[in-house]
Parts: sequence; structure tokens; C-alpha cells
Amino acid sequence: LLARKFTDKHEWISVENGIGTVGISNFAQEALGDVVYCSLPEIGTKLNKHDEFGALESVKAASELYSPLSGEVTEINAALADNPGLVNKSCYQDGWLIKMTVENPAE
Amino acid sequence: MLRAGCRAALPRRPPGSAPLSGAGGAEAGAGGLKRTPLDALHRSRGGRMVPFAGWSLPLHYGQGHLQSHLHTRRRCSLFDVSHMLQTRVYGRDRVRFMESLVVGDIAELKPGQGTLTLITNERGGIVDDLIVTNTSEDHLYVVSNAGCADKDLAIMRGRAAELQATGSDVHLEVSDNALLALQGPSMARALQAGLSDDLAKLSFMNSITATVFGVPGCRVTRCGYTGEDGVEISVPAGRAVELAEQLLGDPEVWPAGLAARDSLRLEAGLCLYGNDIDEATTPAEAGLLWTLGKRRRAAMDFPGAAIIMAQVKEKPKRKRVGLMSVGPPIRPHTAILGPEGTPMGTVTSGCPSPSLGKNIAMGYVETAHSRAGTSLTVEVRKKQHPALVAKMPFVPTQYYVAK
Repeated sequence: LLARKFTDKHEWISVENGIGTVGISNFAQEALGDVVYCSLPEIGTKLNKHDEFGALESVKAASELYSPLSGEVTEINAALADNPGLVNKSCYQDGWLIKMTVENPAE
Repeated sequence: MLRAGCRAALPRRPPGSAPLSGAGGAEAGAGGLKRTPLDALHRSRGGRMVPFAGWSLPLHYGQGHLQSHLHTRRRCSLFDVSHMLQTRVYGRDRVRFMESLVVGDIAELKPGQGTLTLITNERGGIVDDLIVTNTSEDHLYVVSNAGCADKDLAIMRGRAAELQATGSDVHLEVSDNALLALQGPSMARALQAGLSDDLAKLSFMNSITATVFGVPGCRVTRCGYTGEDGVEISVPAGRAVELAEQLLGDPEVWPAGLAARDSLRLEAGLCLYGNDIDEATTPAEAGLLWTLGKRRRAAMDFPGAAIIMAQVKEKPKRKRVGLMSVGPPIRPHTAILGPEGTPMGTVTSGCPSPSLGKNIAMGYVETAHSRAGTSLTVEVRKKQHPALVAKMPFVPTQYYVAK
């Protein structure tokens, strides 16, 4: 059973075999409204905890995304390019944002 | 991740906008915000209420921003715009009074005809954009921005007092009517059901008084802020809810809020005062020279005329343009770079266009780079993205003209 941990910025990370999957919470996607564009980092980007790594855009405004942990981006959710609304419809499953290595499990 | 996410992109409120008594039947609600006559209706229909220009207004309802925007273009939406200032100007000298403040040919307006015009200042800057209608009754009907209400009223009252002191006959009345905007291709069908006047005879920018769905004493003006065929209905405050409920009883009419209002007007290429135009922008820079009356240009008898007419002759140094792009949306205050990569402009409004599936924006650029089709660059989150200068409106308008 994967444990999903939440940050105070309404993001979640779920770690399996040293790889963390990152997304936003239901509260966050509801507050944001319809997501129309996802700005995500390139694979290989090194992130420190709290670094801004992208943004989710609704029609009205942009909301920045902050890295919950330190690590390196290994994968981004390609489905979001054509279907950004997945973030709203399935924020815990199909609407995941990035996967990253977990440098420091203690974080 | 979440800041005051939605509010970050709401139009700027002018500083010092203090509560104003009388406009729109206001009563101070929570946090000192004024409430329109439809406040309870918005809340009961799931309106997400936000502060705007000192008023509590719905940002959107249950269907969300995107669906509301698209529904307006396909069917019809009802917006509560009671926060805007509605003023009636009476007296034999009302036209002279109005022309002393604005750039338009007000004397030439036919009975029932209105026009978009600008109040300008001595530096040629735009104080407000507003609609002035020559009613076929004994007054001019003026609708101006909520965010400029205190400023506009002070100017109008001051000028009226000056003219009265020299024996002129002019006086103002602020209306506390509600103002409902019904916008979209289904508007005519939905409204005709409650109107005995033939809407087919009412052209864009014309106005009548009528009984609407049994509510007498309404003013119906064919105008709006969406680019669609639409009307704004000024209705006595005490019967505004009744009228709104009648209109919303039509299944094709959805309530809509500030969020859709902003994305719709941007698609239509319409300026938002405080973002795209303000006291530091001139009509020439803003691309609003068409508001200058033909007679007024020759007479040069409006505030700032010398500066403004000089810019008609020798083009201004910067111009308001439309921009389109793909990739990350372009938001206000984004830097615009010229072909050499040097910053030479700023975005004043921007959003992803629900109708087009691309990003649209308005901003000011150096005149040399303002022609439609020019390739420019915008800087979003430290990355550069191409943007093209585009003609406005971005989405074709549907204004109605009677045959």
C-alpha cells in the first residue's frame, strides 16, 4: 500500500522503490478550477525541496508548483499536454504531474 | 502551491476606492463590501463570491469558468453588473455639460442612441471609458466603471456645480437600479418572450424603456462587454430579483460571473480600465481614436485635446496590440521583447482563450513593432516563447444591426 504524504502547499508525493510520484490534492484542484495548461520541468532537472518546478494554469490565473522533496525529475506525465483537465478529474491517479528520485528519504 | 490564486489575476482595483452610497442599492456586507440587489440569489445558486471594486460579486457558479464562458458564446448568460455606476443627467445644458468632460459627439446622438466615449484629463490621459446614451426622454443615461465611481462622480458633480454657478441648467441623479447583462445568441429569443417591443428593431448601441417580464420602468440597451449580441437591462432594485429569476427560468440562460466576464471581453478585444487603459494612456496609444467625435476633433474642445490631436498627427511612440501564442499563458506584467531580444513592451491583460484554444493577450509595444503579424517574444517564468501580434477582436463579434 503506497503511502501518500501531503505538503502544506496541497501537493502529495507517493514513494515506491525510491521513485516519488507528485501531484496536487483534491482541495487544490477544486480551488484552481479547470486546468488548461501544465508547465512542467524537463527530465533530468535537479530539484531541492521547496524549489519551484512548474505551474498549473487555469483560465483565470497560474499556480506555481513547489518540489516536496529533493531529487531529480525522471518522468513527466505526457498525457497532460493534450489533456490538462486530468489534473482536475483524477488528481490522485491519472493526473499525476512528475516522478522524481528521492535523494533524502528523511525529508 | 496555492496563493490567493484566483485573485492574483483579477483586474487591479484603483487605490482608495472607498464605499459609495446610493449606487446599485448597496448595503454594506461582510468586510465593508457593498452588495447588489441580487446578492442572495448569487449565493443560493452557488456563486463563489469575491471582492471587486468594493463590491461582493460572484466569480463563477457551479459549472465553473470554462463552461460558463463557452455557454455565453453558444447560448446565453446573465451577468449582474449592478456594481457599475449609472447616472442620469438632466437639464437643458446636459449635452454641453457632458461634452465638457468627454471626447465624443454627444449632441449628434439620435434619440435612443448611445456611444462608447472617454473622459480625458488635461494630460490627454484616459480617466474612464463609459457609455453615454441620449435617451428619448429628458436625460442622458451614463454607465461608467465601478472602479472609477468615486472619481467620476467627483468630476461630474464638480463640473455640474461650476456650470450651475454660471446659470446653466444641469443636474445629476445617481440611479440605484440594478443592472443585468444578458449576453449570447439566445438572448433575443429569451428576452423577446417577456418584451412587447420588437427586438428586431433595436440595433446595437440603442436603448428603449420597456416593461420586461411584467416589471415596468426598465431601460433595455443593446450593448455589452462580451462581443456577443446582448442587452443590459437597468431595472428598479426592488424588482431585480424577480426579473433575474424570470430570465434564469429559461433553460438556455445560465448565470455567469466576473471570471467569464473577463475572458469574454478579452476575446472580444475590449479594454479593461485599470489594466489596458488608465490615466497614463492616451486614446492614440490605446487605439481608441475612433471615439473622438468628428466635430470635437476640429473644435479641439475636450480635455487634453492639444496633446491628443498632436498624437493623431504624429503617431504615438507605443501602441496597444493583441498577441497570440501557444504554450504557457501570457499574463499581465509579462515583458514583451522585440526582434533584437530587447524588452520594449508589457502585457496588460492575458489569458488562455477558451474559444480558440490558444493564448491571447493585450499589451503595449513600441509602435515600430505593432503591425499585425509581427513576431515578438514574451518571457514567462524566465523562459522565452514566441508571440504574434494579432488583430482584435480575437473572436468575431456578433453585434446586431436592424435591417
